[in-house]
Amino acid sequence: MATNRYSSGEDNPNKWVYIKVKRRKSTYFLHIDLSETIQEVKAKLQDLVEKEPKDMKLYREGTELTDSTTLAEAKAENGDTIAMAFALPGEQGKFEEMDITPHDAELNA
Amino acid sequence: MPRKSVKLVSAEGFEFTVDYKAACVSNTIKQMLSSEGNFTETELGEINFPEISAPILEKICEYFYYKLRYMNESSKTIPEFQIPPEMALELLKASNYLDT
Repeated sequence: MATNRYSSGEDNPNKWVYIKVKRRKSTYFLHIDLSETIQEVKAKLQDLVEKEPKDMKLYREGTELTDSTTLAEAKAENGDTIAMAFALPGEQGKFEEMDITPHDAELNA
Repeated sequence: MPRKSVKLVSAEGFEFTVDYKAACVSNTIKQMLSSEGNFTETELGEINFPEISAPILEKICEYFYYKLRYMNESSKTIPEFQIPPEMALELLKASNYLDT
């Protein structure tokens, strides 16, 4: 496998590059390699969110990410936020709106 | 019984799921998760922080990953961990509690 070109850990493959996947009040910190595809990211999320990859959509800056793109191709960087939406149950092919609950309002807690 | 991920819950109910290894950057969390006996924390891999707000907890999780990424590097190449000034005090209190 010579696909390490995109990983930022050229000298140290175990570098902790991560992305934040957000939906509503949940944030999932994922330890990733930027050469991974969106499909692979969805597979990692599968256990955490208990949804099939086909029932997930991921977005970066409002644009949907297709399964075959890699994170590097999507210009994702360490610490980036990716939005996640789930398929609506019982409605074939329909997905919920992107929805990330902001927490700025509660900064003064 | 090491588990793969841990869920940290903020005062307002925001949930942050991080790698087990990342969470263990905090000695407090590490001890909570590895302690003997049947703590609910140990069983569910879920820890509530009723005194930590979501923005602070998120920053803390970012720090876990920052630490893991850079802890074995020479000092020259490490970027500074950015902290907004208005967060500093709350973050200090939280990191003191979490022993991080």
